[in-house]
Amino acid sequence: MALRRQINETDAAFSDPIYGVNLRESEENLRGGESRLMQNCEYYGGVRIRRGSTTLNGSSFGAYKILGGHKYYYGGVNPTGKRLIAYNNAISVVSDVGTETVLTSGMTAGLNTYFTTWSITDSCYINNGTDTLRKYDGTTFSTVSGTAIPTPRGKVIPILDRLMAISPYGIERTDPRVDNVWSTDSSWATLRPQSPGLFTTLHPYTLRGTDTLYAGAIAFQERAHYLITGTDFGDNVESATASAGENAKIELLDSNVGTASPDSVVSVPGIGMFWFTTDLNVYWLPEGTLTGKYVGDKIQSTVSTAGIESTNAVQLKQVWMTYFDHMLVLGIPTGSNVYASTQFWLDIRSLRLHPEWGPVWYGPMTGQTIGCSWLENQQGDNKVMGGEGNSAVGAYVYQYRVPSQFTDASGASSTAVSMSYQTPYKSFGTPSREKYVQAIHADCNSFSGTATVDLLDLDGTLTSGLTLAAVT
Amino acid sequence: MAITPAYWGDGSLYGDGDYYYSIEGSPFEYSVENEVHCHRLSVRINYTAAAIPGAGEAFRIHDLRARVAPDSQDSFTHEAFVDATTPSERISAVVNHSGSEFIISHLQLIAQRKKHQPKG
Repeated sequence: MALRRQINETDAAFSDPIYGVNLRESEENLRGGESRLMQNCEYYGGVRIRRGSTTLNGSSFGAYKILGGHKYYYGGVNPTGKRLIAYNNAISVVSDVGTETVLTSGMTAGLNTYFTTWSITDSCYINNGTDTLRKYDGTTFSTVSGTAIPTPRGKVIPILDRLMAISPYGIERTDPRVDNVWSTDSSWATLRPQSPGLFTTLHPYTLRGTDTLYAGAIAFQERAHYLITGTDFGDNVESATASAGENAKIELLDSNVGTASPDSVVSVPGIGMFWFTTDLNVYWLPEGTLTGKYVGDKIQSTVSTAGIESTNAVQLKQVWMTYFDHMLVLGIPTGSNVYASTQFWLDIRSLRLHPEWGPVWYGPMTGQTIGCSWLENQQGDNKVMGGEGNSAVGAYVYQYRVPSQFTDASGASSTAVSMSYQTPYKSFGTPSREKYVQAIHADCNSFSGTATVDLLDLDGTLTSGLTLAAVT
Repeated sequence: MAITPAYWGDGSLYGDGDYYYSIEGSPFEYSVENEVHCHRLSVRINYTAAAIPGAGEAFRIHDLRARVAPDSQDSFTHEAFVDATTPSERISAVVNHSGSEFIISHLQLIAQRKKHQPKG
């Protein structure tokens, strides 16, 4: 039915949410192209319900959370791979049909566990911050033995021809190409922080200079981060003095921004590094630079929807980030949760194509309790996996962001993904004047089930639960 | 609401059909009619995926618009009436508050141009 003095359709249209969700700005100041809420949906060829997850193992491995996971690709000319997971006190291999082979039940129980594949030994290194470094070569699971084997905090990382790990003294390194000779509290081979406190994690990083690549790593404390670089990391790390030519160095990049979330540090190809900071934001170190910036302001909420400001500050180790399929997925434990219960997604495609738009976030994504996440992307794999974070659900392994999957697995059961998309508060050019609304029109795809519409004004909900009906 | 797909042009005349529908993924038009008054309108669309095994396509919204017309009355959620008639060239407002959280997101003046402007 025609409406007298109807606002024309161009002015009456809500812009597509190309700038994503903004939980920080006031209702009055949300701009066209932003969204108040993008719960369980993303902007990708229209506002689209997000994809769901499936369970790998049909029955639980026990009433435990998954503490870490990794796809260990190895085998040289006969490449193969194994999916490793940690839960309770166990390290296990889990096949693609969910069959478990326990490698050990001798780990200290309940600790976040980190896996690193080192190509030089074709082995996977496993640590949890309490037990001596473990090693798996695809056949044999063992405790690494030798000289000064560390009990590393965070991940062990490869740097040029050796491994590095965090000890109570600083950052230790191996001799070239071996895993069984480590420095310990060395006057030259142990890299020490400038700010007080232990290092929290390491992440490989290559700095691009003019015609030069500087291989190295970024080292983190809770409130600082550093650049480690060098071309020669020494020959005999047990020696009292450095070998000739040794030139490794550690330099403070920022004395305020660090992380207490080792699993949040992630590299995004062509874009840079991201991590979750101790002050509950997301930090971006753009590719090729050493100057970072915060990019999580829009998901620091000032409204009733919980954002990253609601992250459980005593569970920052449970925060994780993973990059998959042009989306940077951030998992956070909100409120009093002790596992990541909410996700926010940063649209990397948008950041790459439209850097002038700034960070574009979607979320919150609810309905999954993935406590840790890892990629499986070699030898024909192309998927992102997660481990159940809630021990009450049980030790389950999931694949998430599964194409054409619109239910979320939670243990052996599943729940339909439920999305909620909310536009900005549009004044239609006359904020002081009341408007008479007659109808809402939407162009959608053909969908099953029922979509409902709520209408909201500044002072609350006007109407809710209206059925969005097809126009025939 | 689920509808039965019918191809555009399946009627007796060219272009005639039950629905405008070309191929899967092309937009359908949906609407909801509801008469309500508002200052700023926000629309929230909720959808829970129908758990149909093999359902291949995600729910997508391509375009969203309101059928809306302005009312004749001015009004706000909060107002301060000023009966003063002293003409002003530039106006500044001071808002004072204490004792509880107070957030100003938008501040707007309703004023009228004085008919006869002073000559300087």
